Amino acid sequence: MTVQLSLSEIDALCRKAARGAGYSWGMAEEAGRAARWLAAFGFQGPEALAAWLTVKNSDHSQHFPQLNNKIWRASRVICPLTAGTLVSDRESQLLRGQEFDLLRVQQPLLMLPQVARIAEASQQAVMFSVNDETVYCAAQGIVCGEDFPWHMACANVVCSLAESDAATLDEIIEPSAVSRAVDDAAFEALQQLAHRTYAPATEASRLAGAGSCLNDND
Amino acid sequence: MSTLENSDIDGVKSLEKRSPDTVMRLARMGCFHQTRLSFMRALLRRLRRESWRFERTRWNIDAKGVGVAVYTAYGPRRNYSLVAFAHDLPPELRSDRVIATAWDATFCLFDGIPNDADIERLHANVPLQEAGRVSDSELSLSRANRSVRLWAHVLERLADGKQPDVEQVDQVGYLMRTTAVYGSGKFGAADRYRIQDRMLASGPFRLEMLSVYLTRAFSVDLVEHMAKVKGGDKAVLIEPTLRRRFGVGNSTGLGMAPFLVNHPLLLHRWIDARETALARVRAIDAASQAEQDKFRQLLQRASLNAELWHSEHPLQVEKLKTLRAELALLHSHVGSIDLNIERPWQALYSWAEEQLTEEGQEQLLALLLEPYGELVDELSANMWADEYAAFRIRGDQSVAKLKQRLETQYRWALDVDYELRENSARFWYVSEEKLEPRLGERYDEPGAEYEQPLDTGRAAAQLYHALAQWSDTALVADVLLAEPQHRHIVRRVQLQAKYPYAEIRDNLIAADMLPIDLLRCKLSFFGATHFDPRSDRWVRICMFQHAPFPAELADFDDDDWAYPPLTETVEAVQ
Repeated sequence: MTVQLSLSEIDALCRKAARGAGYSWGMAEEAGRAARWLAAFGFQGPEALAAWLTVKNSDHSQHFPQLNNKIWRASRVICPLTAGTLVSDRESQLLRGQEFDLLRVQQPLLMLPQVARIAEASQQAVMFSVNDETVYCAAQGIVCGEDFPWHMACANVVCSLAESDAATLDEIIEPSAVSRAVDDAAFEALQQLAHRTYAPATEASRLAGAGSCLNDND
Repeated sequence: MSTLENSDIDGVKSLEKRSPDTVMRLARMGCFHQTRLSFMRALLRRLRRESWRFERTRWNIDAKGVGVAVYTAYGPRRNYSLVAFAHDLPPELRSDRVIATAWDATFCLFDGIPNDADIERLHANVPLQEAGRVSDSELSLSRANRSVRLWAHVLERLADGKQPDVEQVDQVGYLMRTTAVYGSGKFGAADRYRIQDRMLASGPFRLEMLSVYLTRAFSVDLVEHMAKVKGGDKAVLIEPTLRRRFGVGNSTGLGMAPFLVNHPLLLHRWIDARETALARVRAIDAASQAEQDKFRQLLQRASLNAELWHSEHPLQVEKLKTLRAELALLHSHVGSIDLNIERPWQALYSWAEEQLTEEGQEQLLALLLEPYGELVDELSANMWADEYAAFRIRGDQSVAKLKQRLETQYRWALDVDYELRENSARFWYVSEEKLEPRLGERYDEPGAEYEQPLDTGRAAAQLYHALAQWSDTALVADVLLAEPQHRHIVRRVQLQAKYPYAEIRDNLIAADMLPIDLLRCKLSFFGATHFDPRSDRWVRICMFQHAPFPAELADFDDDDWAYPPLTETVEAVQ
């Protein structure tokens, strides 16, 4: 079973779910945008986020990557949202040719939007490799082979500037803004997490919090 | 992106724009008026220019006033239809609050012309509003309630073969007021990016405004229909001149307030267009007689507008008193000076800066743009934003640079002591009940752990303190990896480097913050008039009052409807 959601609903739901799962607002915004981006390209963004948020440890720091011997690793699996912002925030290093090796990233798909945005903004193709299968991110869209492990739960990730000509690969994937089906179980999981961001109503807040106590029947 | 930045437009003379420290204050934003750049006016200009045709393509409304009507707008490339469901609402259920579950009428704007199957699908969902689901074929979802008093009066008069009383019409200004207009992907409706390449949708809120414009036509048609049912052959239609005095209302609460904070780039574009327009008019070397006449005429009509503007809220009563007094002062000043001087509008604006409060200054701004459509109307095309493109953080910025930005652009926030209760008295949250933004009292109510990130000033101050622990040469990327809690505010600070009007420079959690100032700012950009606060966080407004109806749009002077006409008297319309 699935539920049909517009892209902005996916963005809002995923932002709230990430916040409900304990992320800061700024990181939660990244989660919403990432899920939206993936959904627009036809990938399982909300589903990947739900999968990540339901397995991650409540102690975020265990999933924070640290640079050790040129490889980013965490005491547990790496948080894909943090990994994505890490590469994105270090865009200038990537564009100077530095490679980013990340060991054991959970739901690595969630990193892709941040990496692809680098290519879009810099107009330079960037490689996003998951267990040696590669997505080429170009300014206009992304290109990948049929064997790309989209559903990999945990993998090693390498991000670097692309050398080969992406256009020679398979067809480019472009985004679409139509609504899309989200898996029911993922939707429920995200809803439950999002619900944690809502304050329970009290009679006092109902009256005072919103506005007019005047009669509208006039 | 750069094509959207108004400073990049060549060949147009302009003075320096007003500083964000002057403009981006709630006290001033709460004095904004509609202008030529407002979305309603830009929409009607476009519909007229492109010769859009309108037709009521369906009218299945019964004797009780229940049923469905469809209004179709035919454009050069696309058609859009307002699908209106009329209901028989028991008075005890009539509420403008978002917690309402039933309304006098419910609407959606359909992409194209709906067939019977579409109507059936919409009938099962649109009347439920938030509890229903719409699809990619729908562009907005909305509802409206009757103004009970005016509705009853107009219905009775028309059924009796008489015209409604002008004073009663002016007192309220509309037969129906919308209580929510949802667009852009809400409840399953089409995402904004799905329709962004449409010419009509290129400006913000154009389709929502189209929906409201057609809702106005529906409200008048419906009351005439009901009068006919009641009065039979004796019933009359409303005279066209009087008919135009009916706008459509809107009742808006806190749900809309965070919008300006949550869309900083869009806010910048709106304010920047307005400030650019003012700067261009102030730079005009000489005003022609026709331009001077137009200004003087509009000034009179603005005074009339202020007279016709009613509110019982003490804050607004006071504001209206000031506005009327300052319009009188402006009127007498303009009568005493010669505008045939160099840079007459700059001289007038400088006088207003000295002699008038924000109330009068912002009204003057709106009036100064009126004679100069050719100079300023094009700016309305630059009031949208691709927020995704401006979302990314610049991680290679140094801590020193970020601190410097905070010191220059958030000085208003850094000097505040947030330990003092009055400076952190409020918190914004989203209620579980209706999933809508609300405002809580931090020191009197539970729930502050659910706080939304609208505490922009405090967050900036917290970031500034946190940066003191970092070396000046450290990079933002390192700070945010270690302290991701600052990511939200860092994004805002960085955005302002390029978009200086992106942040409201006031403490949004202060005890004396007035949410109606946020509402007024946003609604003025829509083109709303007659702001009538019902509390400090709830406002009623009027839209499209005096505008030509769809069928007469082609016959009217371009964009001269936003202030009430002077020639109209009670006798003339009776």
